Amino acid sequence: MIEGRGLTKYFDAGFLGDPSAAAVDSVDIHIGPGETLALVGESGCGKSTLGRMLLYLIHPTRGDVLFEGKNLAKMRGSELRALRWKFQIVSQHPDNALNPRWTVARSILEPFRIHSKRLNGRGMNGELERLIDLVGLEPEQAARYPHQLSGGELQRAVIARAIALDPAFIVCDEPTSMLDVSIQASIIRLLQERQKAIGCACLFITHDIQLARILGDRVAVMLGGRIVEEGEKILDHPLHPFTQRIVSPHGISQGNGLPEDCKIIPGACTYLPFCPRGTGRCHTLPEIQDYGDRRVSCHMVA
Amino acid sequence: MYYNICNYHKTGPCRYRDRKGTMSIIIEVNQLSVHFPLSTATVKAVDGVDLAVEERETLAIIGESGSGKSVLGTAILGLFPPTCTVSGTITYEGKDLLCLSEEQLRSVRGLQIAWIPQNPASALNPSMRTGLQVGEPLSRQAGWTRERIHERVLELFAKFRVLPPEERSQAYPDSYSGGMLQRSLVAMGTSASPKVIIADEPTKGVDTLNKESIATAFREVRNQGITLVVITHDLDFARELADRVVVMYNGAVLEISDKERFFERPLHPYSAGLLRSLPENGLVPIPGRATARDGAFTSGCRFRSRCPGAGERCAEEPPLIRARHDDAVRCWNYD
Ligand SMILES: Nc1ncnc2c1ncn2[C@@H]1O[C@H](COP(=O)(O)OP(=O)(O)OP(=O)(O)O)[C@@H](O)[C@H]1O
Ligand SMILES: Nc1ncnc2c1ncn2[C@@H]1O[C@H](COP(=O)(O)OP(=O)(O)OP(=O)(O)O)[C@@H](O)[C@H]1O
Ligand SMILES: [Mg+2]
Ligand SMILES: [Mg+2]
Repeated sequence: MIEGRGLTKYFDAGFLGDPSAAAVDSVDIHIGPGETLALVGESGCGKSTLGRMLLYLIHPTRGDVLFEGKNLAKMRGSELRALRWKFQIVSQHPDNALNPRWTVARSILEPFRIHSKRLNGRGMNGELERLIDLVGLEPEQAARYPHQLSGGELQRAVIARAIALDPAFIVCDEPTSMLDVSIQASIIRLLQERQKAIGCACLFITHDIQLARILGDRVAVMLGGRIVEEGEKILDHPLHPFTQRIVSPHGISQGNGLPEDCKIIPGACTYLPFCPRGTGRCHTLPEIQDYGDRRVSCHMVA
Repeated sequence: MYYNICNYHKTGPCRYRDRKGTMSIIIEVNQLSVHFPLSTATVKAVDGVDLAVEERETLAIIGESGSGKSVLGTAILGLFPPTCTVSGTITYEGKDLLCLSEEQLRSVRGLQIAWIPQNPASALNPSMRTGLQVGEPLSRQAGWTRERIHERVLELFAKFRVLPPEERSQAYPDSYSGGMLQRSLVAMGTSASPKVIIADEPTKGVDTLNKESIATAFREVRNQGITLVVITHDLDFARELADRVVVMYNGAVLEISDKERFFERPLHPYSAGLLRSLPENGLVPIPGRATARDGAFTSGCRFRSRCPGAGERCAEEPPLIRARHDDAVRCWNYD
């Protein structure tokens, strides 16, 4: 359904003045209808950037995004606009996702104002009530402005807006980061159930390995702008040393962080400075290779 | 001297003495209510909260989304949205914060009580270099030259792994990833060695590896004798750091327990339901939902409609009852 080929992003000013470093580097990715791809990886490795490129909110420096086989770069403006409602995002920071001068209700209903055909005869108010109820808010709360809601209430309002039009592809960037675990559980169930009902593709970005395991039909692990391992049961049977590290049962106290002075060695495997299994071969960047049930980018996996 | 919570019970068994006799209370919240009158209803964001924070302790505040944690946290800083009505008292080192002038408050806020806000995107100024913003609390302290501040900021960036520090400190917030923004806020909050740090969801959107650096930093801060109040949905993080856990629901405190005992055996049915909803415990949400905060709780236990064990007595709101050691719970089961 949605596919990215060789997606690469260099930010304008170069990456912190270093034009040779890409935020996202040659990523191939595809998500089928009704499928959830869970995306995990260290902070700053390019997850949000990749998600936004797939939605065409950020234009890739190189590479293509294809939706139902059609290249977005070759589409005309009107075609792209027609796609807009099919693509939705629950962004990482809900606090600047909604217009601060609109009531929350107006923001949630905005998609219908633009695509009124999608109402299917239901009234605006009925639709609002349905959505608000799904995410566990009260109509009275929807009548308020964004700053009058708590962090988690706002996050749920953003989710309500994202699922309003039954999207075809949705990027959920840490959608439950501000929810208590009980509401998180019900929102996750809601997302799963909606996804099944409408068959949309979902990219679920999270730092919670447990959530990724439960939610992802497939899981992709990112490191330094690249996907290093991707497949179905990779969190249960990780092959890449980095995946092995992030699934290892460590308390947050056990000093599992990457060393501070991590300097990425140019041209080498990104993980080399931290890798227990690194050898001379690892000074060349490994290509991502297909191993049947998964793709891995590591010289030591064969 | 009474310990932990004032006005537990007007009468009854739960007036008890300080277990160590030496701890002193740094922040005391007494019958605090913060209400928002809206055109259709009044939102009782914080509704009669009693809480005492001991000097040097780490207190985790957990609870429902929308239960009033952030409003309580900002109230302790003397920050209130313009439309709310406030009653009760908040004392900090014996001073009644609600009676201080704005000028007096400013010398407390940020310097003595630091605040790490919940919203990284709106908390930082998009048109100011991040390094300058992180060093801002320091610049308000005497004896900090620009060079010294810059050095300290670089240290903090390295500590919170906002790397490489020099380049990142010169960059603007919008070039940061979500987790980096969050970590910069934590760096800013811990920069000036205040007496108390109140952190609102300091680990959201932060991966396990970086969460560890935040946990380490908080542990260091605690060892320096700084009091920590951590508002969080991250139960692992609370378990890792806290001495005591406070559970909020619908504007009220439902439970205050020692950390070990809380995770071993929580007292309140809501707390137990919360632990059951963890992904590793099967992702089972608590059935039902909290009804509107618009006065539906003028009477009775706030959790009654969702509680598996609710009985007739629950039509009356239980007070905080001492259940074991120094732990207190708002539930008739323990009367
Ligand atoms: N607008 C921008 N200008 C310059 N650099 C940027 C911009 N947006 C992102 N970056 C950089 O690109 C890299 C990837 O950022 P991204 O937001 O995709 O990370 P992430 O994986 O989502 O991390 P997190 O888990 O912390 O949110 C980061 O190093 C970030 O600093
Ligand atoms: N300015 C305001 N006007 C009206 N209601 C408000 C305002 N600010 C907060 N509220 C309401 O007060 C209640 C408590 O909000 P608060 O932000 O303290 O929740 P919270 O416990 O921090 O939740 P979360 O975990 O979702 O951040 C919420 O129901 C919220 O909708
Ligand atoms: Mg991100
Ligand atoms: Mg909050």
